[in-house]
Amino acid sequence: MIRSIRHHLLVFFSVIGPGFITAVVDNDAGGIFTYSQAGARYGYLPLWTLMPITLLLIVTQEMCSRMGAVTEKGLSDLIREEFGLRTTFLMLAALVAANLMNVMANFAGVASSLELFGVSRYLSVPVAVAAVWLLIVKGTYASVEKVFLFACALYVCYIVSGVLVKPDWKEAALYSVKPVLLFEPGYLQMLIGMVGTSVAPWMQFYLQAAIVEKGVTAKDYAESRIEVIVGCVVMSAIASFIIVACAGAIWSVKPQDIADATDAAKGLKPFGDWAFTLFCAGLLNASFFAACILPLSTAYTVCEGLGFESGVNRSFKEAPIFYWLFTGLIIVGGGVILIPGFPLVKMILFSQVINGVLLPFVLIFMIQLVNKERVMHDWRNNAAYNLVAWTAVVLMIGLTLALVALTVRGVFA
Amino acid sequence: MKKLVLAVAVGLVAGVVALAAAMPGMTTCLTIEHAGLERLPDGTLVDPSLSADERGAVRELREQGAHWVRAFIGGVAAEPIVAFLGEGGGHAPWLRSHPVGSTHFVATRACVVIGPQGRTVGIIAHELMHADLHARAGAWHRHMTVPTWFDEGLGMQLDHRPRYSLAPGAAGSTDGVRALESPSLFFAGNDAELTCHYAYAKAEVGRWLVRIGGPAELAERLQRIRQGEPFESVWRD
Repeated sequence: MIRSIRHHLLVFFSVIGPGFITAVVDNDAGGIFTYSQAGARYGYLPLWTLMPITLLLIVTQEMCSRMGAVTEKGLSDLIREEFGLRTTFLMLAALVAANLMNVMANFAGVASSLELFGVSRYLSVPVAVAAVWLLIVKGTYASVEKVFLFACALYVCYIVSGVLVKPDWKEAALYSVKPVLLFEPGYLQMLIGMVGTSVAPWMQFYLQAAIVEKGVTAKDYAESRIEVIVGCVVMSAIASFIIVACAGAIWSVKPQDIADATDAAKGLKPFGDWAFTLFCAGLLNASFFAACILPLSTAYTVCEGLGFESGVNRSFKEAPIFYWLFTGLIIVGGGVILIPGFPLVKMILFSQVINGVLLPFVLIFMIQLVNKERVMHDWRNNAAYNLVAWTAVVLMIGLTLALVALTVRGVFA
Repeated sequence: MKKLVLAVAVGLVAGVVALAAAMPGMTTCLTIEHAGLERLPDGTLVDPSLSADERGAVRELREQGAHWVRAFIGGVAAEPIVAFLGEGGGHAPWLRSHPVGSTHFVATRACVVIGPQGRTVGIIAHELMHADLHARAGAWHRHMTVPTWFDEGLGMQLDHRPRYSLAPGAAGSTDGVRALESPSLFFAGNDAELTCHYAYAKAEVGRWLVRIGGPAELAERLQRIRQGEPFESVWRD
């Protein structure tokens, strides 16, 4: 019995990485802003949404990791094989555009979090770009994954800053399980935004690619599945502490909208230097982390989809397209932040629209692939799982399209 | 197959329960007639624990409240369900009760719930005014266009509790209340802040009514909202 538990723990720690990293990096600069805004404007009320969001995330992430472990192929690779090159190419083009804009948003997160400490973006962004490049290009998958797992651990900043603002824990606990639906447009828009930012197309591609590159197979899948679930729960716990921190620090003083995540950090200042500093550190860590993962995910996806060599374990010479694409994305993504007057907000809104249009296709491809006997053999979804998966997908598509509609309306307004 | 049917059934029940819990106001509005209250001859629902004298009194209060609304705006447009709750909680546990008064809506249906501390003509008229605004502006436009501060400010025109009345010249500008557009903003804060919100909303709407030529003009303005005119334009004009 003890030997069996020890064996499972050993396997669990050997497969830990892809699921955990993908879920946690979901709390990037955009995610932190969304959750901060939810807490600052509506207090503890939105906390309950994290429970269904976690379930949705688990269902989608689990299918991807299962496909990766069973087929030992990336998602874009499978889509190309099963649905053809033209479909894959169109999807990749949209994904590259959306991810590039998200990379910009995350370098902007690096810049603004360090500007709160007086560091100029003309220094912070080039240093961040160089650090990201060196980490990925000079590292191996194992070393890069260790750095990413360390970055995951740094998200504890949000938990500590949430505790430091001394929120109303009773209210937080109550609204974590008590659903509240306010029929006011702002609240509904916020709920849709929370779901929309939680499940993004890039995550599905990155998770499956990382599962393949790590070498997780069907044999290790039981532990890998636990890792995916634990990652989603941790992501949700971090998001709840961000909401709680902003509810305790901002909403309890005066409910208000915030302009960006640094506004949320400033709102924590009255609760001491530590609360403020930790929130800023969390934002810096999340932005830097996402600025590594997003271009990496894009490079994986494009190279798998078009049949080029890919992987952090390969050298620049072995996978030139993979590394050049990665390099181009971080240089452009970081470079535009230094251009005065660059319409970053419009770009981010535009990326939300592209993500929203892309997500339904990706999710439907995923469900079709995971049910193909030729691809998944005995690892296909059963009827009950398919019911849950289709419900989750339909719900997600509906909410994401609603977010796109609201974004488009906002842009034109 | 059995497992699948069971999963669907459990999912549906859980979904309905979660939805009902998430929207207590709507649940109240939809279920109040089946919540263990007794119906009086005029249609008013009352807690079974209310005595005969209390039942007579609440019927009289309801009539008076409707009369106040009629006198204010020139007629009564709404026919809400009105329920009076008692101290004993003699009603279904899921019913959202409020010690004073509250009004809930589901589409065109309106439901006024008056708690034990809300049995005054002013409070009843206040709640009936919410229902009247809902009927005149239309469910959709009231929900999407009419800000909460206006809805509450209008209700307060008939509610003369002294704590919500600003002494003439006591306050400076009250237009800050116009930022409180949604319920989550208007009803946020402690008791003192909430009192302030009501008082400012009352003053702001009161001043507007004077500007537009008195409550007689109000029905026409609400009709314009019903026809799709933005609230800001109806307010500024």
